[in-house]
Amino acid sequence: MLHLEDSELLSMFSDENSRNYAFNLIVKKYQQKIYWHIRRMVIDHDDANDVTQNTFIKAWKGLEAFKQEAQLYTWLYRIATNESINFLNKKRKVLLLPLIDVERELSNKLEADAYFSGNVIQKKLQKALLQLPEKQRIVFNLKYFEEMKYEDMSTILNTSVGALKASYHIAVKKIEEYLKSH
Amino acid sequence: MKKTNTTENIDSLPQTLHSIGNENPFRVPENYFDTLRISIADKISEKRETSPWIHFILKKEIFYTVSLCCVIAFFVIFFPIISTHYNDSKLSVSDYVIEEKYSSFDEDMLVAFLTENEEDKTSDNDYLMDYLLHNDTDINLIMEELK
Repeated sequence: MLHLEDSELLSMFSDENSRNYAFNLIVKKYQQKIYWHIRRMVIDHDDANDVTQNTFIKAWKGLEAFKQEAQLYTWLYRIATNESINFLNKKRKVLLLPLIDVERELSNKLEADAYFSGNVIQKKLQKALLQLPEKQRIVFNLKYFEEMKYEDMSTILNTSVGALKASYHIAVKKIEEYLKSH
Repeated sequence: MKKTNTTENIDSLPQTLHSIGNENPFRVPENYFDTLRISIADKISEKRETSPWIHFILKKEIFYTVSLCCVIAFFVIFFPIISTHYNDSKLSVSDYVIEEKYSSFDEDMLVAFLTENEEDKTSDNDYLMDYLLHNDTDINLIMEELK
């Protein structure tokens, strides 16, 4: 499979004849990063699968109007983040659960997850993450697991770099406290 | 995607987090990412095959507006029919009552009633004549007066 730059993929996408092929290459290039980003948010594999598919379907619909001066990967991350948050919000509405109960439900899913291969301390870290507010959790995941630059995060989350740094440090403190007390 | 310097990222963390490391603890089913790409492609082609008219109709606002129009149209079309039918049925009931009343009318009863009236009239006249005679009234004079 060819490894093309985003700009090349986008110009291929703008051509009607190579549109499907270009989109297929975009999915192949980003599907894993997007899936793992979503999976860390929704925990369950089946849910992550649905949200990932929806993310790429939305990307397909919006790609024609996509402005090439923006980065394709931050744009995809932005869609994925919004889709994940919407998914969790819908879950709260459907199950009539307050925030804390959804996080508890995710924690239970983590316990029973057949596709979790981490050790005890890794599981504890995931549970600690579920105690955080949604945005802090996203920031922590992007920084800690994906080692993303604050500037890119700033584009994805539409938040200033300073606020993101503060959010990350608060998240680290809370996790540290959780790990010490549990 | 550019990553920050891992040393800068991990080393600045407290000891506990630093010891855990940032390895991904989640897994996926085997060959999942090969099938994911195909599933996405299938879903997109399904969406493309669906007529744009269906997408238009399925839009919430359009759906509610059309539903409301259908309800209004239903009442406009069927309400006059229902009310006419109701009036018809009312008429039918009264017709039925009248029909029943007269169809069951006994002819012998009618004859008896008329005859009875005639007899009453005769008896009334006899009573009047008796009264006049008893009071010594000049009948001829009364008859002339009546003429």
